[in-house]
This record gives sequence, structure tokens and C-alpha cells, in this order.
Amino acid sequence: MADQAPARSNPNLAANWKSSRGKKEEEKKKVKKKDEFEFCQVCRINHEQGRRHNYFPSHANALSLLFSRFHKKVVDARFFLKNPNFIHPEHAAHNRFWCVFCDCDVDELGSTFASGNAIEHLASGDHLKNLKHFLWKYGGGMDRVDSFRITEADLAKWEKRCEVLTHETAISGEGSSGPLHRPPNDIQPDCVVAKNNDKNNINFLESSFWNDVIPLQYSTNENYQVYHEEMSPVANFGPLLLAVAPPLSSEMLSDPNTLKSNDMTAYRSNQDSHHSDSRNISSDGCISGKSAYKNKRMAGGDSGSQGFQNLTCISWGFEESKRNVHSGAPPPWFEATKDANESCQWDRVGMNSVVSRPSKSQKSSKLNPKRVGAAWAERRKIELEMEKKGEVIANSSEVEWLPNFGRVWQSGSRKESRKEFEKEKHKLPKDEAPSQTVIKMQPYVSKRMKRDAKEGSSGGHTEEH
Amino acid sequence: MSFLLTTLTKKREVDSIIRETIDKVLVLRFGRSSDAICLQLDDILSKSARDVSKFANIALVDIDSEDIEVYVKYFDITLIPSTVFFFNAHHMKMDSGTADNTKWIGAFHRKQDFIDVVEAIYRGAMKGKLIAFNRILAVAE
Repeated sequence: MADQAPARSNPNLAANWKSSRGKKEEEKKKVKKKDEFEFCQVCRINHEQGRRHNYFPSHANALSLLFSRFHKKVVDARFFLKNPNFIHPEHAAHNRFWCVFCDCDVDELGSTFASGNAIEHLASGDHLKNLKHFLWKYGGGMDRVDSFRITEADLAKWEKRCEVLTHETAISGEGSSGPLHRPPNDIQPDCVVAKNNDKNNINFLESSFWNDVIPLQYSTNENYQVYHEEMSPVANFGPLLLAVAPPLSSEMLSDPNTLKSNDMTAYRSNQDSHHSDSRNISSDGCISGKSAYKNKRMAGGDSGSQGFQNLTCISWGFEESKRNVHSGAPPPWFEATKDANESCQWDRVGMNSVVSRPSKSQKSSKLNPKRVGAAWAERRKIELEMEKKGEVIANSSEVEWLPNFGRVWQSGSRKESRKEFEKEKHKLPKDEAPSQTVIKMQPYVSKRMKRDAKEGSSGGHTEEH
Repeated sequence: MSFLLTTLTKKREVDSIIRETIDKVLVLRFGRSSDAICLQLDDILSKSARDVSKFANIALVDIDSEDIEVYVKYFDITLIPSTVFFFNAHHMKMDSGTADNTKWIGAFHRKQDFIDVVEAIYRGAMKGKLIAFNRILAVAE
């Protein structure tokens, strides 16, 4: 019995020892992990804060910024997912996007459709895997997975649409010699939107997404006119049509102000009816485009053309068309009209009052309410603001204004010194200037000084008192 | 030296500077820029203008201009340079042991003396006092 007891206890001991050792190792690992520096891709810093780092406000801010940026890209890609579009090989090089989750650059070099590679990437399994890993590592919630990727169902739909599109273009493009770059129907809205923008001089022509776009080779007028011409039996298509299409982002198109969906659908249906009529895709788009433009000019029928009844705003006089961004006309906000000036001024004043009031009130609340002239200061501040606005024209009836002033060793209210001054003022004209100058020149001699002077003159005993 | 600070030659200018200086001490030096002691004072004022800029504005008033005469009379300015202090358009008196407590007559010994005077006036004004006490000696005396 005595032998068995230790024998029994031994394995327990060993197990305990093992478990304790394991614990120690785990602790060591934890300590090690804590001490280890790791790189946070979101904040772009090396840190040793471990998992805690994800909950720091700076990290959260950076993460939300990153997500919002990437979400924009995804939204752009989703636009083309719904509206598949051909991409010109020339523009393929311009379109690419950086996937932050996969750390890779997705370019459109090999793709025939706009942001095709991007869509494929966003739908790929690798992307999903990387995305999940990223969300796990840096936080942000797993529920966001779907907002940063494209589901396979969507991808399948997109592929189908693309097939249909290629099929259509293959049929319509039979017999054409040049490369097949027929834009899908969605290009028309693009173009019309561009036109609308041009018409309204909307300044986001200068915004960022316009910058990374291919240079404008033909004025939007011409492109538009080409589309317009499509209504007529002879349609001329050229690569120039594509010059406008790819760069437009979904933001622009989804803007309800610029895109009138009813008009578009009407136009589209109309246009579809003409699709079967004729498709002469010419390789020299430039010439054909111009001829079409001329035709349009000759016809001059803006409201009369089919499908455009609701889009009459697009057609305007040639003189007017001169005064736009492309012709170097000054932007409307530079034109100094009175109304604009006034409105600007008011805006500024409004801004000032909005911005400065809280700070001022805070400042004045900190100041002692019993300070000298507190009531006056508050009143004056309001007055000054009113003067800034131009409501009150000060300086009237203030010729006589004098500040509050207390005379030497004067007792009583300070208004008395003012009254004294007024009295003197009335007297002075009678007394004439000489006496005034005498008063002016006389320096102050105190009693003591007088006494000292007297004593000094009378005798030598000046030391006492 | 007067070019370093704003010089006022019109009553309206003086009015407006008094009325536009809010919650700050306004230091008005009455004198003429050709006077020797005025020059000395202007030097001190211009050097310390930046130091006190958070709680004081400094301006020079040219007593030779006719438009200012009203103020010269109103403030009883008989000796130049005379420095008058205002706070929220209220005249600030200072008892510095001299006979005249309505203004500072003469230059200051040092920059710091001036800053001390302005600070004493500001502190007093913020507590609602119309008169400040400070014991420094003027150069002129």
C-alpha cells in the first residue's frame, strides 16, 4: 500500500508539472506577443499594442476612412456591374484600382468590359478570404464583408449581360472593318448627362474624377450631335463615342438632378427601334462625327427630333454654346453681378456670425460681468456686427461724441466732468485764445513744490518735515 | 518713432479707436513726434506694443492737428507727452503718486514700467475698478 501510493501520485504529479509547464509557456508566448512589434496597415505604423490597437480612436478613424475610400471604388465597380460597358484598349491603362485588402493592383489591361477585371477580382474567392482576414485583423465588423465585395450571383448576372452585349455588337457590327467598340445603350445617358453638365456649367467638370480621364478630343457638342444623328436612317459611329463613355463614374450618373430616368428610357426605347435600321460603324469617327454634327445643324430641329421632346434643354444656340468652359469663358461665379455680390456678402456675414458668435459669447461669458464698461462692450459688439453687415451707418450724430472722462481729483459722477467741459467750451469763445495758451503752457506745480521753492528762496532749512 | 504705431490726427479717428477697442486697454499718447521726451516714450511704447497686444492697444495722437484740439481740452492736456488710458470707452484713472491721476505725464523709465502700468489698469478694469494704483516714477519728474 505504501508503495502504491507514491506510484499513484507520481503520474498526477507529472501531469500537474506538465500542465504548469504548458501554462508557463503560454504565458511566455503571450508576453512575447505583447512585446512583438507588428505593422498596422491601416494606420501605417509599427506598434506593440497588440489587439488593443484596434480600439484606439486613431485606428478607428483611419479604418473608417479606408473603408469609405474603398467603398467608393466598389460603388463604381457596381455601376458597371449593372451596366456592362465596353472599354477601349486605350483607356484600359487609365483604369485600375488598388485593392487594400489583397494588397494588389487590379488593372484593366486585358479586359474588354469597363472595370471587368475589378469586378472579377471583387467577386473572387481570394478577395473574400483576404477581406475576411483584414476585417478580423483590423476590426470593422464581419457584417461589412458584403459591402466590399461582389457576390457570385451578381457576377453571373454580369457575365450574362456581357455575353448578350458582345452578341449584339457582333451582329450589328458585321461587315465593319474597324475594331468593334460599339458602345452599349447606356452610353447615351452618359453622353446626355455630360451634355447637361456642360449646359448648366456645373463645375464638377473640374472635379477629381474628371482629371484622371482621357483628354477631351472632341467637344461634347459633337459627340452629342452624333448620337442625335443616330435617329436618322444613316447612323455614323466612330471610336470617338467612347471618348466620353468610360470615364464617367456612377456618382455622376446616379445624380437624380442630372439624369432624368423617364427621358432616358423613352430615348432608349426609341433608339433601340432604330438599332436594327442601320449600323454603319466607320473607323474614322472624327469625320463622320463632324458630318453628323453639320447635318444636325442644318436640320436645326431640336424639339422636332424623335425621343428628345423632353430633353429640349440640350439644344441651344451656337452663340450661347460659345460661352462655356471649353471656349474659355469666365465661369459664372466670376461674373460680378450685384446680386451675386450681395448674396456673397450676406453669406459671408452669415458665416461670420455663425462662426464667431459662439466663440465670442464664450469669451465674454468668461470675462467678469462687472468689469468696466461691460454693458457698453456688449452693446458695442452688437453694433459693430450690425455695422459690418451694413445695416447701421454709424458716424452720424457722433461729431459731438466724447468718451467718458474723469477730471483730476473730481468727485461724483463722471458726467459732471463732461458738463464742466461743456460749460468751459461755451465760455472759451468769449475769453479768446491768449488765456487758453497761457493755461496750456502752465505746468502743474504742486503745493509741496511751491512750498519747497519758497523755502528754498527764503532760507537754507529745507531738511525738516 | 511715431511711424511704428498708428498716429491719429482726427477726432473721428480717436473716437473710432476708443469705440472699437473692446475689452482691452487703450493707450493714447498725446504729444508730438518731434519732442525729445515724446520720442523716448514712443520708443518704449513701440517696443512693448507687441508684448501687451493681448490686452492693450496703443495709438499716438498728434496734438498739433486742429481736429484733435477738442480732445486736448477735454482731457486737460497741458504737458506732453501725456498718456491717457481707456477701457471699454471708459477713462481709466491711475494713482501713481503724482498730482494728476487722470493721465501719465512724461516717459517711462523702462519698458517694464509701462507694461506694469497697463497690466495694473487692465486688472483693475476687469474687476470693475475705474482707478488703478501703481507706484513708479516718471522720467520727466
